[in-house]
Amino acid sequence: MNNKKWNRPPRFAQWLLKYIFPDQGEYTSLGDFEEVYNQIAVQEGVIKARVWFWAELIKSLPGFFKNQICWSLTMFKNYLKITLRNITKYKGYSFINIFGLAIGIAVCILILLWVLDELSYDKFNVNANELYHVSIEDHRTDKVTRFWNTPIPLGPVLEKEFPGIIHATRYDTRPRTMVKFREKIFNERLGFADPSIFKMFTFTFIKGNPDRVFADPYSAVITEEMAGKIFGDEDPIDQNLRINNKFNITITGVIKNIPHNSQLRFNFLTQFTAIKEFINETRMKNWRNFSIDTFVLLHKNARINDVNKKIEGFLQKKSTNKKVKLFLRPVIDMHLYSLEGGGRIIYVYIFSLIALFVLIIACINFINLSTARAGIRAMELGLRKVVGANRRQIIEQFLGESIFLSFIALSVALLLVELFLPAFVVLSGKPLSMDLLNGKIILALIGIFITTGAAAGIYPALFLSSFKPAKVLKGEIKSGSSWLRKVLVVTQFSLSNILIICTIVISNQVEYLNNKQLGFDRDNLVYIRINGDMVNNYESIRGEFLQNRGIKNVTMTSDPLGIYISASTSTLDWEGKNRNDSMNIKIISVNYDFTKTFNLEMVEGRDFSRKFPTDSSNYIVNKEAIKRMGIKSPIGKRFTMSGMEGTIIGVVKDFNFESLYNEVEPLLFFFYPDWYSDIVVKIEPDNISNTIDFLKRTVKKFTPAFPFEYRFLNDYFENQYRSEKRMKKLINYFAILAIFISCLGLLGLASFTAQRRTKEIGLRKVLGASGPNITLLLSKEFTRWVLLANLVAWPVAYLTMNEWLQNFAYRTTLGLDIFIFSAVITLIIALLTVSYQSIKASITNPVEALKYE
Amino acid sequence: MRLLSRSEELVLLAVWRLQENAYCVPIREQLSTVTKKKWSFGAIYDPLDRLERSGLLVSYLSEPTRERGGRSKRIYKLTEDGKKSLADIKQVADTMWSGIQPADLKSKV
Repeated sequence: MNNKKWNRPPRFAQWLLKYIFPDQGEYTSLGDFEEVYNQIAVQEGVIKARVWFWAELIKSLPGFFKNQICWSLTMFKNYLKITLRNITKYKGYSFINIFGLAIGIAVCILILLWVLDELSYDKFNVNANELYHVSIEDHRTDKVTRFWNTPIPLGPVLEKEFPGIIHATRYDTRPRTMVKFREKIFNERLGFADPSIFKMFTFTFIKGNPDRVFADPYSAVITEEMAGKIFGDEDPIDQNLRINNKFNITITGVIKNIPHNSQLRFNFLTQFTAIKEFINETRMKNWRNFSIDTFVLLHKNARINDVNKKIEGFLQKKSTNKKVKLFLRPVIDMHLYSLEGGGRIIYVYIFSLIALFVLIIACINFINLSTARAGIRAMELGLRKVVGANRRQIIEQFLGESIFLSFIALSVALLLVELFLPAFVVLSGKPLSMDLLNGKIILALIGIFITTGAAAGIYPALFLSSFKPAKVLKGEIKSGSSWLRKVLVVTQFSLSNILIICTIVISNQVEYLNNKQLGFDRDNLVYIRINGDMVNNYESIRGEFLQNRGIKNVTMTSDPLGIYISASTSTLDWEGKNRNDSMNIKIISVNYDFTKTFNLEMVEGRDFSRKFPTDSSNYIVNKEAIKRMGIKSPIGKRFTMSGMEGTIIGVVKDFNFESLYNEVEPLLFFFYPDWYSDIVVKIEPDNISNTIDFLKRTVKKFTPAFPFEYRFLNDYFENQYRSEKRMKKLINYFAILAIFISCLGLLGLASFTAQRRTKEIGLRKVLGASGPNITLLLSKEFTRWVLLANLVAWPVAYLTMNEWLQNFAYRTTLGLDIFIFSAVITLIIALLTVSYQSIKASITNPVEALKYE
Repeated sequence: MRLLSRSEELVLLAVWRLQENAYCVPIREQLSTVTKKKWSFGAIYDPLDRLERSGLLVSYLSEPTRERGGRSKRIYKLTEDGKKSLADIKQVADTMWSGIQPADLKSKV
């Protein structure tokens, strides 16, 4: 036995003992325990000593717990009671606090739903991370352009030649394809893809085997929705559908409806080879015609950069195009990032920022009001401290209280979300739902709730707990450091300001896009869908149309002008072309009277004319094309496109034939009957419904089997900028809410300030200050804060909005007027909010204020 | 005068006997030896606390020792009241016992 060795109890047990037996911080009893422990260890061995030590410890546990639970329950009951009493006692404050926070959280949740949905695109695919889309980088001109369409033969060759690529599929759609089943006619979106698509993308099959559905070239897979629409209760499998009155397809499989967050959108899908029914057969093998999507599935271990390096120059081998490069980009990025940079991701950022702003604003309200009200609670806290509450307990009480309040706010918020979700679904155009089974959303909710509660409660908790009870009870309290409150109010108003400026800029831009002179007349233009034999009967239809006085002009075309032109080519030759000259030109198929119908301005030469029979093989180009070709007098010059030789007979002034996201590119008009998709009719603005009726009757005479389908060109435009309009609306609402929440907070603060200065105001009045003087005095302070907030907000708003505007080729200006306007707006709103309190303070009888001592 | 409970009385006596060394461990040891039963720490702390509050004992902290994990001992001392209280108890007990022989008790059992 070694007497010199001092035996110490196990560390963990010691720590535990220390915790359950605080001993006023001196721990002499711990020493006592240790001494006896050593004694037992020396006399009877360490094991016995340990057993003894632990036994002592465990024996003391039940009492300890009983004590703890009993006390914490008692205290909790007390805290809860006090909290509820405070809520009911100061109804106005409580309402502002809870309701402000609730709106903040509700807005956050709604935006969160929107953002989560935006981020979820294509991620439901099992192979989402290995799926890539093949895109093209065009170095033929000085400005590098990128586009998504690829040559038709590309897909299968990529799959065969590159080991990193497991599968490839070509993909294309025809949006409104005529489908005939028995005598019924439908318009559905037809997709084309190679069989490997089922191994790449994820579809849920209800009927049919994904490995075998495309065994036959004219087999098709149909969505549940379309199957129900066409076949009703009948079994769709092995039914035949007639497509465009041209060929038949057989249904071999039924899939669940495609989720809304998928890039691939079709109602039914057939083998890619069937696309030859729609296009010129030579295009199937043409490497220089870029028209369809190509998707690839990479091997799990393949590195995207390596694959990109390998396939980069692939097109150069297949065609003479030396300056066209292939590259892959992830399918999951396609929805958010546009090829030219920017894209919807910027909306995701803007919206996330708004959510954050609104939440911060609501939190700041909470913090401000709670600290401001500290004076009211100070007496209670002083007493608590005197009776024996320590600092930790007071912090706990206040944190608990604010988390409790934020819990109430969360409940109110969920109610609000539930209430406004349907409206938000309409506004955002997304089928959003409070899918509470989604773990991410629940986690996010809990996250929002706890962060808000803690963030809002931590400052008041620390601040209030630091009061010296003696001073408090003597009535000498300060109501929190006012600089912090100023910083918070300035932050709050800066954020509101940023939102206001963003709202104005976005509205301006949308207005600008709507009113921008496109260079052609887009009003009162009716696009009538070409069905059946309408192209062959065009002259007769046109003749009948023109008999009606409501119809001014008639022509035919392949694309809605001003929206998007799908075809382009670089297989060009022209008189005076240098060897190195090259150009990519957009092509649109037109008919006689096209320039007249759209009111396009000719710069040189003439329009296509019936008087010159050869015109059907001649060309008209835009000025940009002439500029790029670099020729002096273009009229009468020979021009060859894809082997079709003709003469340039006219040049039109540049106009925006595509969306205002893009700048004007070279454009070519020519006659190509295969492409005609619509007859375009320019009608008189009055009696539109009669005219439409007449058009319908006339068209029906020629194609009785087909439905009459028409659309105004303006409707296409509505669609074109729909997401901007949605953005504008959403941001409008959110900005209003943010300002509303800020004002709630300001109202609370103003009333608090007025209250705190009651005595001062009373004295001032006794000494002769007038009512307006007092109002001015109280408003001055807030004015300064709001103006400062403006200065903070301006640069942030400017940078954000400048970035957003970069998305557009044509954009509105970011003038100083917007900033000044927003400053005036916030100032007015703030002053109106404050004035209620300051006027109230200024008309109070000073006697009452001074009696208050 | 305040009547003390038996454990209080014993603890008070032990503190008196131990003098400079009157802290929890030796007190407990002594009581255990004399009464031939185990005393838990709580059974010592409790009367010590009570006696201190009623002013019969005062305590101070010793210099920290190297043993006991460097913790100091809380050493107790009798106050004048304490001493008086012990004397009173002794007197009461003696008065009550006067004329009774322990042998008498034995024969009755």
